[in-house]
Formats: sequence, structure tokens, C-alpha cells
Amino acid sequence: MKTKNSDQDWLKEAPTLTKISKKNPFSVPYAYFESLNDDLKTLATLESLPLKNEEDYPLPLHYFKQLPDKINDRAAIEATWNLSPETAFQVPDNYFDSLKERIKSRIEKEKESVVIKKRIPSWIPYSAAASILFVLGLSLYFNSSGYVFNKQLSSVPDYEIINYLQIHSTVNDNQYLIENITEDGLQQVSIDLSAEDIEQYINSTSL
Amino acid sequence: MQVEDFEILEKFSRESTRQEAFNLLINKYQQKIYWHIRRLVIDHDDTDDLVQDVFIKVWKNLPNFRNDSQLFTWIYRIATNESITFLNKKKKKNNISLDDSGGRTLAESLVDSPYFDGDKAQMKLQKALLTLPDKQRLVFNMKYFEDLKYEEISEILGTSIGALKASFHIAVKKIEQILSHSD
Repeated sequence: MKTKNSDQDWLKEAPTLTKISKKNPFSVPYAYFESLNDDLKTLATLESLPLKNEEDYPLPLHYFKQLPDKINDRAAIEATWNLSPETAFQVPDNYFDSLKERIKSRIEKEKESVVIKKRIPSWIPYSAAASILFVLGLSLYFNSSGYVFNKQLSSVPDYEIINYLQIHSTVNDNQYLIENITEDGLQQVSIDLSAEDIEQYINSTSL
Repeated sequence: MQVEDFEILEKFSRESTRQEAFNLLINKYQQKIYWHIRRLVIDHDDTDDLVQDVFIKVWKNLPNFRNDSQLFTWIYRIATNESITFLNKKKKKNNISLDDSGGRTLAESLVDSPYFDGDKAQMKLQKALLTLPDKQRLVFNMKYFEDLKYEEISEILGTSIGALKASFHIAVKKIEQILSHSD
């Protein structure tokens, strides 16, 4: 009895609440509980339906082996679809506001350059290109032959060159050397040869 | 005459009368469970889904039901857990949703509901109840509207009677304060 009384103590503390009707204020659609009854029975019946054997549903060969890959591929594709450029990348402020104008001005510029191009006779670019190719070809030819010659000469030992020059040189060669030897070449020669050697060479040579 | 729980359980234990037992169970508990859930989740359609989920769980798990608790407290416990889980999910969905796709709040469901026939005072009371934490609202509903005993609520919720009493009194005080200060 004491418990019951204490259970009702709250009534004294909540006079406003107790004035409000305890009648259920909620309602349900018409004949809801009648249909709910049937729905629940149907659901229970469906739940109790025995599952058929797996053998009754033949699957393609290696179906379950390939299934994870298929799912992964599908997930990857869907992830790509879901990529939102708006969230992944950002553009400068007001980029799209000025984009249209910038594209239009670019198109105008392109049109102008096309007009200028049209004023130049069509044979000029071809002849200019042919001239450039000709000059490049010549320089390439001469440079490459000098390069090959120098490379071959560097592989010949010095003493063979000296022997060759002693046997085959002529008076005209001295004149050629005097005309073509450079300052650096002279210095190099003077480092390797003493004054006595040069003097002896001059006295002994018959040229 | 209402069928006793032990009769339902007895019939359910036999394969031949299992379906009949379940029909009896539905007839006996569907309205109680419906209103228990409806007062918590407010919206009729959400309640309808949950009621079906609850009875399917009952159907599936009744073979494992042990007689160490009453059948009605066991069904109420399932209904309560389903409802609280639903409310938590709904809150989470509403919190993470940046637009309106997260769904309506309980208060919005209450105001928009075509199935609310109460007067202004009852609407005010329901709105005040929605300011309470879900578990406090649950205790209030079970005690105030469903007239369950603390012992029964204690068995259903697995909470001590003392804690339930405290929870109910706090809820009553809050509601009284809200109601007396409005208007």
C-alpha cells in the first residue's frame, strides 16, 4: 500500500500535467489493425518458407571465384561516377564568371591571327622552310665530316704522324703551317721543345 | 476471452499448431506493441515498419524463448530495443545530413501527422515529452500512459526500480515545468 501511495506522489508535484487528458491522442488509418494482423501473418509465413537447395539454382562456372573481382570493378566504376569535380578540385574566385568572356576574346584573337596568315602568300613559308633545311643540311654535312676526320686523326699515334710528315711533307707545307698555326699551338710546341732543339732542327733540315 | 501466454507458448512448441499460436500472439499483442512504439517514434509509418520487424523477430526467436521471463516482457523488450535503435539511427541520419534528406524530426512528424486527434493541451504535452531524453521519455510513457508497474518496466528495461522511479520523477518535474511556463 505504501508503495502504491509513493507511486502516486508525483500527482501532487504536477498539477498542470494531471489536468491534461490521458486519452490516447494518436490515431491510426482506417482498419489498420485488421490489415496489420494479416500482414504479420503473411510475413511470418514468408519467413517460414523453406529455402530451396542451392543445387536447384545452377550457377555459371567459377561464378563465386569471379564475383569478388566483379564487385571490386563495379565499386571502382561507381566510385569514379561519384567523384565530384566540384569537391575534388577548386578554381580561383569568380573563375566561371569570367570564363565565357575569356573564351570569346581568345576566339577573336584566333580569328585575327588567321586573317594575318591569309595575307602572306602561300609559297613564302614553303620556300623559307626549304632554305632553312638547305643551310642546316650543309652545316651538318661539313661539321660531321670534320668531326669524323678529327676523331680518326686522334687515334693515330704521334710518332706515325711525325714519320708521315718527315717523309711526305713539302716546302708548301711549311708555308701552310706558318699561315695556319695558332698562338695556342705555338705555345704548346714551345713547351715541349727547347730552343736548342729547334735550332738543331733548323740547322739539320734541308728544307 | 484473452488467451494466456502459457497456452500460446505451448501451441508454439508443437509444429502442427505453431502458426495458430503465432496468430494468437499477434491478436493479443499487436495493439499494445503498436502503441508502445508509436508513442516513442511518433510517426505512424515508422511505427508500422517497426511493428512488423518486432513480430518477425518474435517469430524467429520464439523457439529459443526461455521461460525465465514473461512472454509479454520479452516482446516489449524487443519492441523497445528496436525503437531505441531506430531513434538513434534517425538522430545520426539527421545530424550527418547537410540537406533535408535526413528526414523529419520527431517534433515535425508530430505536428504534420494526419493521425493525431488530440487537443491543444495534448499536443503541448507531446511536444514537451519530445524535449526529454529518449530513455526518460520511454519510462514516462510506460508509467504514465501504459500504466505498467515499476516491476514490469524494470524487467523489460533491465533497470533497477529505484533508478526508474528517479527517472520518472525527473521527467514529471521537467514536463510540469514546461507545461506551467508555456502560455
